[in-house]
Amino acid sequence: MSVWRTSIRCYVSLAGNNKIADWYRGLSPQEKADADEFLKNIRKTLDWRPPDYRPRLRDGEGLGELRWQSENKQHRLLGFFMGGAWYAVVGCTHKQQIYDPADSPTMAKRYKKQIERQEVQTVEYDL
Amino acid sequence: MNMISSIFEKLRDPEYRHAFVASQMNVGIPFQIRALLRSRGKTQGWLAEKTGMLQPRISGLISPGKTRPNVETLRRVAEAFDCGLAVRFVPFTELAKWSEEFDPESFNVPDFDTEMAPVERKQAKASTKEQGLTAGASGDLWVTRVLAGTQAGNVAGGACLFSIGTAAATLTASSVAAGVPELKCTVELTPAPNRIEPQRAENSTAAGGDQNPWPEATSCQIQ
Repeated sequence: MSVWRTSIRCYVSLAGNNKIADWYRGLSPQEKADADEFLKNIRKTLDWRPPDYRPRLRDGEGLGELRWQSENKQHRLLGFFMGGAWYAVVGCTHKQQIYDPADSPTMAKRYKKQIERQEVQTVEYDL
Repeated sequence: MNMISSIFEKLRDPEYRHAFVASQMNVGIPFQIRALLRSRGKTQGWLAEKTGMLQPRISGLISPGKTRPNVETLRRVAEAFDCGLAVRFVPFTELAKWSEEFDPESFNVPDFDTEMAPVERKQAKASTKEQGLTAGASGDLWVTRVLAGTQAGNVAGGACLFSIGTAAATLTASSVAAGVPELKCTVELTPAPNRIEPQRAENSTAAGGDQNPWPEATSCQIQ
C-alpha cells in the first residue's frame, strides 16, 4: 500500500471547478500515465527537491513548481506549501521560459491568495 | 476512491494501460536510480564513471520523463550497481502492484557482495558444523553434542571434542582464535533450562562408556 508522505491538495474555483482535474482531463493518455506515475512517487517523498521540484519561482510570491517531462513537453504543476500540504493551483507546460497557458503564473498567484484567505475550497488530489 | 481501485479503473482504457507500461520506464526508472544512488551514498558522477556514460546522460536518466532508457542502458546501470535487472512480461495487476508499493524513500537493492554475505556466513557455519567446530565468529551459537566416548574424561579434564548434536555451545573469542580443525577446548557443561536435569549432566559426565550419556540437549559454553 502506498505511503503518502506529502499531501497534495487541488484548487477548486468559486464556481466549484477542480482546476487540477480540468488540467488532467486535457492530457493525452501518455501524459496522464506519466503524470500519475510522477505524482504518485512525489507524494511518497517527504523532501521535495530538484529536479522534481523548484521551490521558488522568480517573482512567484511563494509559488513553487513540480517538474517532469512527458511526450517531449516540460510539464509543470504550480503550487505552494501551507500547513504541511502542498496546494496545486495550476497545471501547465513550459517551453523556453514561457508557460502554456501564458498567464499560468498570474493565475497561480491569484489562486494562491484565494486559498490563503480561505475564499475557496481545496480537495485532496485523487485523479 | 483509493489508489488501487483508481489505477485499475484507468487500466480499463487500452490507451491508458499501454501508456502506463511506458510510464514505468520513463518516469518510474528515474525514481529507482535516484533511490539506488541515495541508498549507496553515490553521485551521478560515480554512476557516469561506472557506466561509461556522460554525466548529462545520467542526469537525463534520473529526470522523470526526460529519456526513454533502453534495456542495454539499464543493463549497464545494473552492472554499475552490481545488482540484477529483471526484464519480463507480467500481468497488469502485477505491474500496478509494483508501482503502487514502490517506495522512493526506502527502495534499495544490495550489491552482490552485500547480498551474499549472510548466505556465506550460513554456509561457513554449516560447513564447520559438519567438521566439528573449526571456524566461526565469537558469539556464534552452535548446536552441538559432545561426542560419545570422549566427553566423560575430557570434560573432567577440561577438554572436549564437539560435533553435530543437540546441545548449544557458544564460541568465544579465545576459541575462535584457537582455530584448530577439531576444536578441543575447555568447556563448562551446564544444563539447558527445562531440558536436562543437573543431576543427569553430572552423571553423564562421569559415566562415559558406550552409551550416549547426552540424550537430551545440553548447553556447552566454551571458555
